[in-house]
Amino acid sequence: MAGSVPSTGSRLGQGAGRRELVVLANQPCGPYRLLQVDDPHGATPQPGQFAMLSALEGWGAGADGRPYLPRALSYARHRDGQAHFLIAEVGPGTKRLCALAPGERVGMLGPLGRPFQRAADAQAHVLLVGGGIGIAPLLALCDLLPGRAHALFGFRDASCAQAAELCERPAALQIATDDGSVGRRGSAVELLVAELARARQAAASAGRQVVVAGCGPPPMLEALRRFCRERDLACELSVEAPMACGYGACHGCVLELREGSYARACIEGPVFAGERLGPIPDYEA
Amino acid sequence: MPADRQGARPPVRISSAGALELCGIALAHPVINGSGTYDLRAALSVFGQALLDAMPFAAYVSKTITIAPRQGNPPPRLWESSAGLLNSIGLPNPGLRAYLEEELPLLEQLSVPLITNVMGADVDEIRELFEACSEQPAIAAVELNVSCPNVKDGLDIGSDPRTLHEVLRKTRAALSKPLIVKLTPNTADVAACAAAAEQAGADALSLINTLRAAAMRSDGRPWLGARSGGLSGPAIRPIALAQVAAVAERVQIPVIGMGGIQSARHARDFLAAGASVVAVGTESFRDPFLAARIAAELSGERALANFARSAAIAAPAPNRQGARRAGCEPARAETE
Repeated sequence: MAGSVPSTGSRLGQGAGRRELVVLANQPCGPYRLLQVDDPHGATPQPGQFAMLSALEGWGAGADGRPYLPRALSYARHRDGQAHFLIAEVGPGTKRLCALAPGERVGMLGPLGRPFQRAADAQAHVLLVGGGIGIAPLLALCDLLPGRAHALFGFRDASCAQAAELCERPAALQIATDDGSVGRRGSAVELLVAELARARQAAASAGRQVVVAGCGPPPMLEALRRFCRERDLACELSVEAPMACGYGACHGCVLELREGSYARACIEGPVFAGERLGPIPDYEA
Repeated sequence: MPADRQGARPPVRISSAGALELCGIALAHPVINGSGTYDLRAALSVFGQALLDAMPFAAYVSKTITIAPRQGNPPPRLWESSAGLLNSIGLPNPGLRAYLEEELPLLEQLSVPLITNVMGADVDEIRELFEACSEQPAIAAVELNVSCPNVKDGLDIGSDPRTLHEVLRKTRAALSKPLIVKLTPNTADVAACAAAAEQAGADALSLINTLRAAAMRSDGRPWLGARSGGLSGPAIRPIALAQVAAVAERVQIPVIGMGGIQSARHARDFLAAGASVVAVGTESFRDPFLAARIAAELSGERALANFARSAAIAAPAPNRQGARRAGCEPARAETE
């Protein structure tokens, strides 16, 4: 048929293409927003997967004709047919998403991408190492491992650290802030440095292996990648890249792997085994 | 565009069944994809059978294939501009051999005709690509990307009418299939390039490719890994419309129009400007099945137009005009 959008046969659940969904809530969470979208017929995402999200109205209405493309956001949670996203306003797209009101509609394509795998394994002793908004996919992973994952979250300040309250049923939760206003002063990687010996001991006594699941701003993620490499620590990192389509069509979101080839963050990631990755670039630096 | 020229345009015929034909290739509707905007293997891995059931495009145009494999440009490769997208993807592809051996078997299974897009740096490369494609029954037509710097002076082959004519004249005979030339918009006179391509044996033209563009980081360095790239999306639509109209006025062969098409209305604009077929590219990034919806809307109009045409036996002129403007049929079809 040259006509309507297909309704079956896709991994994305009912409606293989972009779905038009209704915003149920959009609440402040420190400086971030927790956006909740009604998605009763979408496939259940696995932790680490993401969706391409745009507002159906007022998208492209910014002063410079942006946003144009949808924005890639990791699922922070998927529960009772609702998709939750943790959003920080960093540009025109996230600004519009942060301003969505209940009842407004969004276009959503997802779940997309490669989820956490090693960290989702039953034999893993999981350390969630997240920085700022990067805790989002780790929240979803924590939901999958109730009472089993140890969360090590770093934030800019006390206000941002409020997002840690979204983490439900971690085995333990430690917080660091850049300004020391909550928890330890420093980054999530420093929490890991301090915690590692104990975690390895606990894992060993339970016959398990420590697996780090990480996500955060590029400098933090790069520090985490290097630390895990130096300590021979299994890790999976959720990376970010400028993205256009989210489904592998455009080859725009590549990052360089350690062996020199390029991999698309959208379909070969966004979660990569840490040892496959080369230095994580910080384009904003 | 003068009415007599449009009347003389022979490109797209309407068969008795009401289907379109482009260079002898039957199309179910007038919407195809822009080369390099829809990696089918990736899309299939995400959408599965649903994509095959609802193939958004009446023909599938491959990404650009070169003789040697290409890894593509270093990241970052994307920049969102005002109502548009800047890219410097760099034509990553597995190379001709791997394309024929590994990708063609998958593309063969599509229910729509396959157009393979190729690019060569010189006459010998283009000839080799043409010869290889000629041997493949699964390839319905070849689209030649002429946005490739030639070795001699670094100018794109397609940016100079004389160079383009010479290259095509020396290679056209190596291809036994219809040849579509994907013109570059980065030239002083796109219509002159179009005429040169037509003269040298092109069976159809497609345009526009991306416009050369750049973006800067806040520290003044280029954002894109390749320093500059190509601009696409709604931002370039008015430019594309003007170039399509200029080309359609100049040549007799069919024109595939593209550049920022987001809706059936936009597609109609390109058809009105003289395109016979339209392509959706960047917009598929926002909505992978958008082209299917545009096609459905145009097909609905086409059904109406066909009805109007048969009705026009009794009531000629105004209805005919209406049918032509509805999109897919050139004037010639109505008189056949």
